[in-house]
Amino acid sequence: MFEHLDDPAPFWPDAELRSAAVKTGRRLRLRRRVAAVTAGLTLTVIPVGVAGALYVERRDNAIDRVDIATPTGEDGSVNILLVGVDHRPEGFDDSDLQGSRADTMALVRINTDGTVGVLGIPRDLRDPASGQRINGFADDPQALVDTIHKTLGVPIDHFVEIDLAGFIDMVDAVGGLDIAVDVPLRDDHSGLDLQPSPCTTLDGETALALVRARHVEGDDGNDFSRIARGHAVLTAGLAAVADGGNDLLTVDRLSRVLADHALLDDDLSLGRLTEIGRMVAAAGPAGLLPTTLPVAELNDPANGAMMLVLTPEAAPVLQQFGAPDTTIAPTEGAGPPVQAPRADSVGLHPCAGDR
Amino acid sequence: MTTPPDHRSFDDRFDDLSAIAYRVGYRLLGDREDAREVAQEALARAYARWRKISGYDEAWVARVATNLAIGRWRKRRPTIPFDDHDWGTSGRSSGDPSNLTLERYGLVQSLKALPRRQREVVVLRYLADLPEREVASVLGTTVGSVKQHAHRAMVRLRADLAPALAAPEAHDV
Repeated sequence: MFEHLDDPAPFWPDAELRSAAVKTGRRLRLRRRVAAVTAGLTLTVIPVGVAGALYVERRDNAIDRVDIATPTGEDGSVNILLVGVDHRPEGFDDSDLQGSRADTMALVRINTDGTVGVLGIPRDLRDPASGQRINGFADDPQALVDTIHKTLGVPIDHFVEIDLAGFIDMVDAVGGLDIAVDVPLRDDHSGLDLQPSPCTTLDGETALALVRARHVEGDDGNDFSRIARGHAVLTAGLAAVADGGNDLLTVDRLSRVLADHALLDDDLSLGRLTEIGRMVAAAGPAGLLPTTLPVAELNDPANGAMMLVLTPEAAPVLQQFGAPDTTIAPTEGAGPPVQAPRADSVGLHPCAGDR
Repeated sequence: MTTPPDHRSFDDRFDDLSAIAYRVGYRLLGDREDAREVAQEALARAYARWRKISGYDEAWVARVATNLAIGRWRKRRPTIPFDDHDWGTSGRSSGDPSNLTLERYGLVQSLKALPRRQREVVVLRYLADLPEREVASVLGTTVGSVKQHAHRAMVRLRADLAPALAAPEAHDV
């Protein structure tokens, strides 16, 4: 198929290549072992039985992995970066060649006290080092992890990327998301049309329309309402995991979705993921703490684009997610702080008396 | 778990695996030095987790080499081409009018846009030249399903690569 792209000269691995690979390999192995011992001290392994383990391993091998170095935390908490990417949809236009873009990003933190923090990361956040939007790094997981780590100061222990079709399948795999809708939510662009209900169950397609909708009637035209809605859906999703995380059938369905649509970091095995699901389950819906990131708008003169920068108020919020205790200086030229609306202010909240 | 007897040592597998990594690296990058570095890094990473991956070493090395090569493309271009409508012309103005360079760039962009499963099949089947049966076994699926994914992926890749393979000057539609 691609033979015409081959090197015309035959390749022969020489001793120099071999010794260089082995030398670097030894160093990498040592680093991994140190990390594994550290992780092992803080975690308890959940036995799923020998047959289960074999089955899980088979499923596990079917999931795409990316080998990235993650800046891990040291206090026993676990930070997981969730990235929803927007691959080119079916029936794309031929000339429209483009890679993946991060549509939605969130940091989920399993605290040592069993609570679960959820921090939405605006994709227009500016990386101070490059002056680019952080979602510009979406096609390189390592660069994305590094940029978010540097920009926010938070550790990132695991990386989970899922595409839009995977999002739909995942919601359906957990049996839909339960959510209360206070006001009618309509968006002709995304086909969203939700009526008020004290507790409705969203299927995958509807949940995706809700997350992606940018033109909901009554929105003030910025990305924050969308982030708030994304937050509400993610919280409902975690609540669904909290409910079904112990159900082997749900785990099995989810693992199939992951195999087809997700990209996980190399150290995030299915067993580990199940374990994290159980931690979320243990926190329960009441233990979920959605948090918004204090930011301000900055009109970047370099490229004339509107981006977001952290405000000094972001420091204590980021500390809750494991960032070091530092102060954040106000960015010169930034506008007044924009508080992203909370999920309930966009008319969405968890179902009352849930479960 | 005990290691199955057919798991061979890293030393024994080095030649075959580095050839796969080099092939993937060269096909995507078109540069000997770059492809060699990709092979060296991929093999170093394989060494570090040999026990875990030796059961499916070829597929693992192919995946890692692909990711490394794509990462290198990213470094070659200081800005991320979100809008690639004019990549045919910008490729020309950079002083390298080679059709192969255009094809490689188009291939990398297309790979990034493919759904995960299709991308995986293309990497293992067509970039690393692994046999269909091995690809199926690594992905935990059937040969039929691999064929199906490969077919769908190739339809999309051909559509993507068509402008690069046709005369590039006729690209500005």
